[in-house]
Amino acid sequence: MTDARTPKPLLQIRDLSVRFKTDRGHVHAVNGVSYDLMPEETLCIVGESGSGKSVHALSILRLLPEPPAEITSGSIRFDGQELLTASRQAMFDLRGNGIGMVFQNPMSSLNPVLTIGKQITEVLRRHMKMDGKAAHRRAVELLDRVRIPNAASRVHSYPHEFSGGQRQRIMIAIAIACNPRLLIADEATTALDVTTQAEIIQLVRELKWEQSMAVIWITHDLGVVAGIADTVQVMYAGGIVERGPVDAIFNDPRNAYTLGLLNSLPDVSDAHGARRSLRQIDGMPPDLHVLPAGDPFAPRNPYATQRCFSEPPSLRQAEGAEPGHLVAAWYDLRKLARREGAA
Amino acid sequence: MPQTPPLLQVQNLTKRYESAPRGAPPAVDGVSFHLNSGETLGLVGESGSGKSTIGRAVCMLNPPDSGSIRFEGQEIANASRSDLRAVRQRMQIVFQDPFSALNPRMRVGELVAEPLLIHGRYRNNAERKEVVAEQFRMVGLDPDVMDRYPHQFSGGQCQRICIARALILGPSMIVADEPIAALDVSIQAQIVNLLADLQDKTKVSYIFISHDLRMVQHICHRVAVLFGGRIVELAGVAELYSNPFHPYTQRLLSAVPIPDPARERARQSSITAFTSRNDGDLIEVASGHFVRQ
Repeated sequence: MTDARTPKPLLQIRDLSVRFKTDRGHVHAVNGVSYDLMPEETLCIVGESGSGKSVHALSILRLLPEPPAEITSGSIRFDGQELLTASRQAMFDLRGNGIGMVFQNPMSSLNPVLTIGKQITEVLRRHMKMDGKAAHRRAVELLDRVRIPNAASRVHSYPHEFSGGQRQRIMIAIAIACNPRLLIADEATTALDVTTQAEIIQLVRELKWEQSMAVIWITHDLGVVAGIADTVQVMYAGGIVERGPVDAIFNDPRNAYTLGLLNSLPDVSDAHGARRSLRQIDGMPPDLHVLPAGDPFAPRNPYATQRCFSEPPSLRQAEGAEPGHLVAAWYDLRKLARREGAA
Repeated sequence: MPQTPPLLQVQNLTKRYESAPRGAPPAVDGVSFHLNSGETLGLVGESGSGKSTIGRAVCMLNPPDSGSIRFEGQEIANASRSDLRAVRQRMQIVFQDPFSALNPRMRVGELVAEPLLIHGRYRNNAERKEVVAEQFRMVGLDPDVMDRYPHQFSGGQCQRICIARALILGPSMIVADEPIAALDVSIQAQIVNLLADLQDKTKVSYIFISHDLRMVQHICHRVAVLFGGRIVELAGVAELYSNPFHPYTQRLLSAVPIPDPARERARQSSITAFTSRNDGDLIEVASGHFVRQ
């Protein structure tokens, strides 16, 4: 057992920057991202398309096509091992064994011409060195664990014979087959119906508990975040703009973008009130071909100061907030605004 | 019964796809509802519940197998192509993916003007251009961008262009099929606000198809909950969300994640499977609140 008083981070990312080569120059997708993930922590990363949330996750697994992608700086240490300089073989071993990943569209992640049993046992034989019989037994167990009915016979079925929710369960079964210490889920429930989404979230919660996994859950749905996160990290234009314990982020947001996201949601408690306008965030995310000189959110931020336009703010402890609640902002949101409808 | 006849009255709509496996129930199975002028009716349900099929059927993009669709007093379920052509000036549809809904080789100004050309309005070029420019302003776009192509716009802007195109003929009804599902969170509120503003200005009615139950609660006046091609519950929005009767509605609402960590921790969602097919009738349990038994 590790010493609970001085736990070591499972994942340490420092100053990670990723850019993509395009016809119009470089797109700066991730810009100086640093954070620690502790063992068994659930970190939710929130952001919209172009925020760098998926690209940074893919760079952890070294799954980005390089080129056009290029990791220009930084360090990613998983369990003490540096991943950015790791060999191909070491990365092969790590994917599945150390880190499992679930993507948004399970149909494109599964091989349509192989039975799902074949696809699960492949992982087990490769990483756990199981023989065919043991792998088959374990595959049925895993399918049963992710609540695929009649697992013993369904193991012989092909991906198209399952529903979307079941396919995502199968992806989870594959991702956890080798007891990884970290599960990365990138918009894993976005394409699913709400009830199926609730089931998948419940399943991941249970598995996390059983297997003592850390989870990085990437989503744009703040409702999902509220339900599963220990820590929330908000990303915008390739950088972290705010990070902190889940309650702090929802109840005491300090970055104007976080506040804007929370305020743009319809107020569900206000069922009987007249239909009023949602508090929208005007404008749109910046073009990342040219990094703005200051805070990338400044042009859309009603609270932006002069300094926001000229100098990028760094991520630091928010004043008067819980320890570990970090914000990148030159303004003090407490004096300027508050969350709509929050107590 | 309402004093004035509703804008749209759908009776016993049924649609079965030829590709469906033998013995499977129809995609839409005897659905009846009405839509009043200036009203937004939400259609919610999971994938396969038939909500998009209904949306396409009332526009006669996918004509139903049987049933009646009365729109502005006219039966359109068996109308001729030329009659439909006239009707379609009064009803339009906005789709989920704004990029695939716009021809990439046409300038956005032409795309918005196209309905005017097809229906032979404003033969005078200058006049037509002015109408299109006004339409751009209505949806919050600068008319200066009319000469650009769709790929030069973001998803939210393309959806604005689709809305401009749908509205330019002055329709009385728009079917919006998951209009915000493909957009970023910070843009979704912009489009929902735009739809609400346009309704205030033009009194257009919406059929708002969505799986986002929070947004449906926000924008709709009445909501129909679909399961297995049938309406299992239909009520005013406040009534439905505060007093859901049908077990499926309860299950659906309990699965909606709430953006509040304290409430998320406290709540127990009932995620038991729901499979019964509900062959009973729709019963009115309160004024305007119908539940299938």
